Amino acid sequence: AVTADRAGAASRGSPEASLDPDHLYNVLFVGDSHVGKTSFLYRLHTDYFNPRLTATVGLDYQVKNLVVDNKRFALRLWDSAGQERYHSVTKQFFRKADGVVLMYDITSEYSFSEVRYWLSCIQEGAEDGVAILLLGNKTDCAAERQVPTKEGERLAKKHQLMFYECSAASGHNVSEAMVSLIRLLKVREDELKNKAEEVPKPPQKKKGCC
Amino acid sequence: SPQDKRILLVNSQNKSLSQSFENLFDEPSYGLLQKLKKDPYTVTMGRFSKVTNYIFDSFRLSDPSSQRRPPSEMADFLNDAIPGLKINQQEEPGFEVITRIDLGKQPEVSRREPVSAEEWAKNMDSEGRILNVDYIKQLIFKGGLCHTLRKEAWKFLLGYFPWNSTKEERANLQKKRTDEYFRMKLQWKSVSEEQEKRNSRLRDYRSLIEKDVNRTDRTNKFYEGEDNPGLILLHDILMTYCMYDFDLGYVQGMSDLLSPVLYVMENEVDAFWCFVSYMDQMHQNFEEQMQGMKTQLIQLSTLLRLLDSGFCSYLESQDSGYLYFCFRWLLIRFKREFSFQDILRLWEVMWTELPCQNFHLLLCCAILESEKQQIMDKHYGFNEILKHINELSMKIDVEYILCKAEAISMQMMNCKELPQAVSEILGIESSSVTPDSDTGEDESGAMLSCATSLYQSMSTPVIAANGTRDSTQQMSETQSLTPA
Repeated sequence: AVTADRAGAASRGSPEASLDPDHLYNVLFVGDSHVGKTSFLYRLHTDYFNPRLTATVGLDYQVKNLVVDNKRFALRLWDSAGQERYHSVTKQFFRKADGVVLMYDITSEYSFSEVRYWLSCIQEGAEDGVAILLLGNKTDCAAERQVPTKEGERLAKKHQLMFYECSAASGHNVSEAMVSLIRLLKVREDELKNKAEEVPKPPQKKKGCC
Repeated sequence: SPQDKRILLVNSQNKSLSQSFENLFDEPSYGLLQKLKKDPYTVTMGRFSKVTNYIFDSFRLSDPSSQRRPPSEMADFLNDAIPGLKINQQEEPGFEVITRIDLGKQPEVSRREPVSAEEWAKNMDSEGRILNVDYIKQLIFKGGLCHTLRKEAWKFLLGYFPWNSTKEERANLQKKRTDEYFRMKLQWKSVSEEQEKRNSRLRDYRSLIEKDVNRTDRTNKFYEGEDNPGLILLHDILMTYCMYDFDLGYVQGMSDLLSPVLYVMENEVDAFWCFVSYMDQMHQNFEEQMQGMKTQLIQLSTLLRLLDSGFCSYLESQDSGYLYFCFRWLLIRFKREFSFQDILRLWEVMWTELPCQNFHLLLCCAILESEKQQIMDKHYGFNEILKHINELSMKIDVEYILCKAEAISMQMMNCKELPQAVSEILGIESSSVTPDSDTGEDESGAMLSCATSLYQSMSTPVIAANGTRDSTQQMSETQSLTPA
């Protein structure tokens, strides 16, 4: 009874999957303070923009169900606090994450420079096969852009990250980015499964890390 | 007597444990408590099993305060805490860590009307001194303040005004504080753009404050809309606080603590100094290593274990034993969990420091106890618990939870065998209290029993009062017995 919408088109607001998803992933949102992590999640959840969201302290949590490629996916989305003081807390959750969304604000050079810091945290704390999405938010504020798209692309390529630019305010690329992330998560999961099935074989080195 | 035996056991235990602390801390991811649990077992016999939890509690209490670990080792507290606080009972089937201390039935508690302006005025002499501080605190604890009184009473509750000051003294104090405030305000106001370019810390503080002021309580009339003067005040006070305490500066969450204070004070200078006093209490929560948060989470788990060890074990089985989901509650004293008006009530009650120290932890216990059934019945896991607790925001009845927390405090105070760790957290003397490990550590047994009898004689009036119906009276006695 599940509407098998072809989410390949990545239409915004893919139909909600019913209970009992086929796949379940933990996704942690990190990035500098005020880049729009909570707003992105709010948009994803309600398809509205709320400019009055309070700063996250501690950790928030949401579930988003999506149907992608005829499969039901549930994303457990953890929203973290951006300020450096809270990073030691956030870092504890890398271990549990299947995916990390690393967000910066395209109108803030500083938030982009923090990406490297976060990458080192991920490398340190997360599992090897973790899926990482680099996400430049606030494309609606084109006039104030400080980080060219090319810069984001270059960084993503260098570290083999998935990359999108989006806007929580306009909704641009919000579900597209998540659908792509889901596909990546699925690929990583399948890889892991295959690896597990070939247990007798010595684990092959698959490394993309620098 | 069996109690004396316990004293000796606990102390000797702590000694042997402290010797192994060094080795334990050296390991990058030590399962501290696991080992703490295992070590004593191998050394001692099964008869320890009953006091294990007791040792546990006293250890956990003393851990953050007396064991000064270097920052680098403390950095990944939760990483330590997750394996550390996890008690896998399957691993050691012979040693269930369950406290069998009977707390008795939770007493019925009622609350009264908020303190009226008349009641407040009646308790003041002609020169403006508060006559009976304990009494007025009791009234505030039991019912809060009517809103018109808050502006004045909060200054006392927060410690900006001394309770025994006269009106004149307060006016002088305010004058002095006003000068001080504007001197500090001028400091950041007079930093030029050029200077700020070379001052990254000030720049970072300013940029964070600007971002957060724009998203703090914006639905409240006092802060809503663009160009609301409330926003400028919020900003200026936070910036001035950075000059007052540049080391701490601005940490997210602080705007949540200031907003209700400013709303009540409606005055920049008074709000600043009240905020300074509030921050004195909350400072540790925001420090680099978040020591206050760690201590509180550990203390909360100690209290919860006494109250409901079954629930604690359940949370541990769900990888949630370190109570991380209470982080926001503790960090900003429930600010995000209640409506603005309810927070005013809750905070003024907490500021009375009645009926015991760390009453806010009992509020956490009260909320958790209310949610326990659903969490366990629906078999919530790590994520569901976090989600459930986060979503309690704005759904908790403040008066109900205050009653429940007070009832828990009475249960604990009436408990005949309150674990030492718990009485230390709550700052109460229990009837059969054993002297705490740090006072007794290097002292002989004779000193210990001497201390015990001292404690017992001190706490006698409390025991005597325990049976009476007048709980408020009893609590004020407990308070007066607590050393400052």
